[in-house]
Parts: sequence; C-alpha cells; structure tokens
Amino acid sequence: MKLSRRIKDLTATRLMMLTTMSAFALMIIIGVVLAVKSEQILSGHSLWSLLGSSVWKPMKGEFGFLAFIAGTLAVTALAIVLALPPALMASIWLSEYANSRIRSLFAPVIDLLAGIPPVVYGVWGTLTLVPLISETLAPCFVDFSTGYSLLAGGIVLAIMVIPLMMGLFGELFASIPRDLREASLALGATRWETARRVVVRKALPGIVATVVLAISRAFGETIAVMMVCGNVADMPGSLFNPVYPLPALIANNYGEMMSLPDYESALMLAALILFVIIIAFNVISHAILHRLKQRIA
Amino acid sequence: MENILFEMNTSVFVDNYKATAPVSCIENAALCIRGLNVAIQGKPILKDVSFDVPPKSITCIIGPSGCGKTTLLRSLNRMHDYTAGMKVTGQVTIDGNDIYAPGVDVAALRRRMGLLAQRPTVLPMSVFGNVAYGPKLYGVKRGELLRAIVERNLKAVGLWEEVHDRLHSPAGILSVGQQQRLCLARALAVQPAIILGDEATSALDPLATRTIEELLLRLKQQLSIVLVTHTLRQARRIADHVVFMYMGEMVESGSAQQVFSNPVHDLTREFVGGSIG
Repeated sequence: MKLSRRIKDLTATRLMMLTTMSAFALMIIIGVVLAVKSEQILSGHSLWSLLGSSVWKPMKGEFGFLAFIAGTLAVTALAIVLALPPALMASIWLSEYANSRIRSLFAPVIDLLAGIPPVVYGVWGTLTLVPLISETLAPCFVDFSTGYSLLAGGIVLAIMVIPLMMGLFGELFASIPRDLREASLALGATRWETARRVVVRKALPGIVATVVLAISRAFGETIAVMMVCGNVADMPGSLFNPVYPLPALIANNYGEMMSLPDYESALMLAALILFVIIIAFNVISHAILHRLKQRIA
Repeated sequence: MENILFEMNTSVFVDNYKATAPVSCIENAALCIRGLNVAIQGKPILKDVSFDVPPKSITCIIGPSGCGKTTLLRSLNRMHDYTAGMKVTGQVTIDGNDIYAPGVDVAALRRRMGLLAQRPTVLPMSVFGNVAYGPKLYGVKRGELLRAIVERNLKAVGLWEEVHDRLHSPAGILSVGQQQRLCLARALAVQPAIILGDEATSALDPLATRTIEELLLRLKQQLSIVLVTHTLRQARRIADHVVFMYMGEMVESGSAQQVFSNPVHDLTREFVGGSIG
C-alpha cells in the first residue's frame, strides 16, 4: 500500500477516536469544574444542611436546595405522567391502525412539533395556560392561584416531550417485525390484543429507554418551565402552587449577585446536583433496561 | 390427556350469515377456493385461482418464486386485511361459509387455521407464555388447565423433553429448529382445523426440517395442512396433493402422484422436470 494511503487511514482512525474520546472527556471536565467551583459552599456548609433544608436566603448565607430539587422532580414527574399515556396511545394508533398515508402525513408534523423552540412553548404557556389555570381550573380546587404553578410547568413540559416520545415510539414500533404481529393475529388475537401483548411487550425496553430520554430532557428543560412555574422557592405543596426547579434557579441568577462569592458557588452546586441526578438516573435506568432486555429477549 | 378441551366456539365464526351461493367442491373439503383474485394497487397477483384442499392430508403449493404462492396462502386466513391497497375477490369457503363474507368474525376464523411462518416467530415471552398465548386469549385462566394445554402441545411436537425444565425462560433462547416446533405447538394449542405453512422449513437445517416434516405427516391424521414450498423435493416427500402456481395462476392441481409422474400441463411438466423455476 502506498504510504500516503496508509497515512490517511491512520489519521482518519485517530481523528475519529479522538472525537469520541473528547465527548467523554468533556463530561468528566464538566463534572470536575462544577465540583471545584462548588467547593467553597461545600466547605462552609454541611452537605446535609444544603440538601436537606428548604430555606433559601442567600443574603443571610442560608442555601437550602431541597425545594429546588423537589421542584425539579415534581415538574418532571408530572410532565412524564401527563405525556406518556397520550404519546403511547397516539403512537400505537399511528403504527398499528392508521394507514400509511396518515402515517406519512403525521411523521413530519411530529418532527416539526419536536423542533419548536422551547421559548415558544413558554410564551404559549404564559398567554394561554397560566390564565386558564388561574381563572378556570384553580378556583375549583383552591382559594387562589396566580396560575404560575407546578401544574402549568408540568403541562408545558408534557406538551414539549410528547412529540419527542412519539417520534421515538414511532421508529420503535416500526422496527418490530410484521411477522410477529401476524403470528399473534393468526392465533385469533385482535389488533388491540396484538398491540398490547406483543408489540408493546416487544418494544418495552425501547419504551423504557424513550421515557428515560424524555425524563433527561425534562430535567434539564429551563426556559419554558421557568416562564410558567412561578419560581418561588417553596416545597411543592399542591399542583396550583409555584415551584422553582434547579435549571430555572441557575438561569435566573447566574451572572447577577456575583458580589456574594457563596452565591456563585451555590449556583455551581445547583448545576452539580442536576448533573449528578441525571447521571445517577441514567445509570439506574441502564441497569433496569439491561434486565428487561434479558427477560424479554 | 386427549380430552383437555377448553370451552371454545370452534366451528362458528360467522354471525348471522350462511353462504348464499354454495359452491360445489369435493366432499368434506377443508377449504374450497373458487375464482380467487388478489390485486395490490390494481396490479393483479392472483388470477382466478380455484382448487380444493382435501381433508386430513397435506396439500403443497409449488411454483417458482414470485408466482403468488405466499399471497395465496395469506388469502386463506385473511392476512391481507390490513395491507393497504389489497383487493381480494372470489370465494374461500370453510364448511360452506365464505370467509370473505361480511360479518365474518376474522379472529375466530384465523383461530381455525394455525400459521407457520417462514422464520420462526416466537412471541416476546416465555416458552410457556408462547403456547399459552392463544388459549389465554380465549379465556382459559386456570393455571392447571393452561399447564396441561402447554404440556400436551409441547409433547405433540416433541419439544417437552427438551424444554420442560426451562418453560419460563424466554422463548428466544431456543434453537431455530426448536423455535419452529414451538410455533407449531402454539398453533396447535388453539385447536385449529387447518395448518398453513409458508415455506415453514426454509430457515431450518436438514435435520430440523426432517423433524418438522415428520410432525406434519403425523398431524395430517387429525388436520388438514396447506404448505407453500419452493423445494420440489419437500413436496415429493410429504405432499398428498399438489397445486402448481405460475405467474399468479393455478396451472394444475391434483394428487401428488398424478402431478409429479403424469402432469397434464406442459408448464407443470417443465417445472417438476426442473427446466423452469
């Protein structure tokens, strides 16, 4: 082989390896930088007082993250609970019942919805959803709500992750062999029985993976949630109370009030907490997924 | 053990319907196919196909690739129902009932015909779950009865000895040959009258093929079998009756002996002689 060809081959190999490795290195670097920057707040306060307290008074040097962590988890959980059933049902209908013309009409629409910038969803939430909750929905349940609430955040986030889920579910169901459906139909199963007992079952690892991806996305979603959830550092008490998720805390405050060194460090810790939650969550879900795949095979 | 039957409506799949135009076919025919046309998006795939499937015997559908064998087989249990642009006309009757008549309970109809696909298609569940799948759909809930059904049908395909200690393992861990026998056991578990096989041994090695063939020869004492095959040798080994298809048309059908040793049609002669196909 000519030397120049060998050099090209070697360069290409190394270059591609380097890019792959740098993605991994980037993650490590982010983690390390966040940890270093959080060091100041961590040395001045016990971890328990930071994570276990919900009192957030930076001017008095009190940095309790519990309300933010709870707010993040609550908004995410609500969004997934609201999004999963309709996303799954619509995807099953599209893949198992709808004809190919409808399917090919919907596929680009779903991609389009997934591509709308979050801030647009945020504006829609502020203009439509927040007044609806405050004027119509909340009075049925509580005395007063501004509408900027856990519920508003959950709904906006749910609407944002539904197209993401549907896009992935669609590809997932399309990858399930037709033979498998026919094996079930040939035994006298109805289409619904086939969808539920065979298609969804076969797709279960993929469904879990999709939900994991949607949760990761929801954890980190900032602007749209920030615009409608009220941003008050209280523990989430009811659907109509405001919450303050971690990403919103960082986005609202970073760059301001930097005169307090503890404050900047606290915001870095907020980012670190978010980072750790997402990594831990992904590791756990990988383990679940692995077991699920073995069981279904 | 022979009498483990569960409450199921085996014979009736037609609601309020009796065939209005009875077709004349051989006595006790398992299936009667008359003037069957299948077209996809206006392009004909099957043209005016008519033949009878005699009971308790093996009928092999032979012909070169693309002649419509599989389409024909799939028309027999209405597998084309969900294929967009597919148009089926003509008659396929069981016990004098047209399966394409309006009001037919398609699920009940399909239950009467076990399907054995080209590649084994085990459902994403355990060995036990695969065999119990059909009976469960029909409301068999008692664990004891389900276990008996599973055991009986796994024994019927000679798989019991091999898998009885891993009934609850995923079916995907079995070998391909075992999987195909599992699929057969699964089909038998809903007590079909007919088994449809679509090149059911093409993915199997010669030994596994022989096992399936021996099973089919044994099963034909109780049920009727329609087998699409592209290997002539297989048809010669097991067929009682042969249907020869060419370019979407039924060229010749008759007893295996007659079609192989004394074909009426020139095309058939050329095909069984090996000069086309």
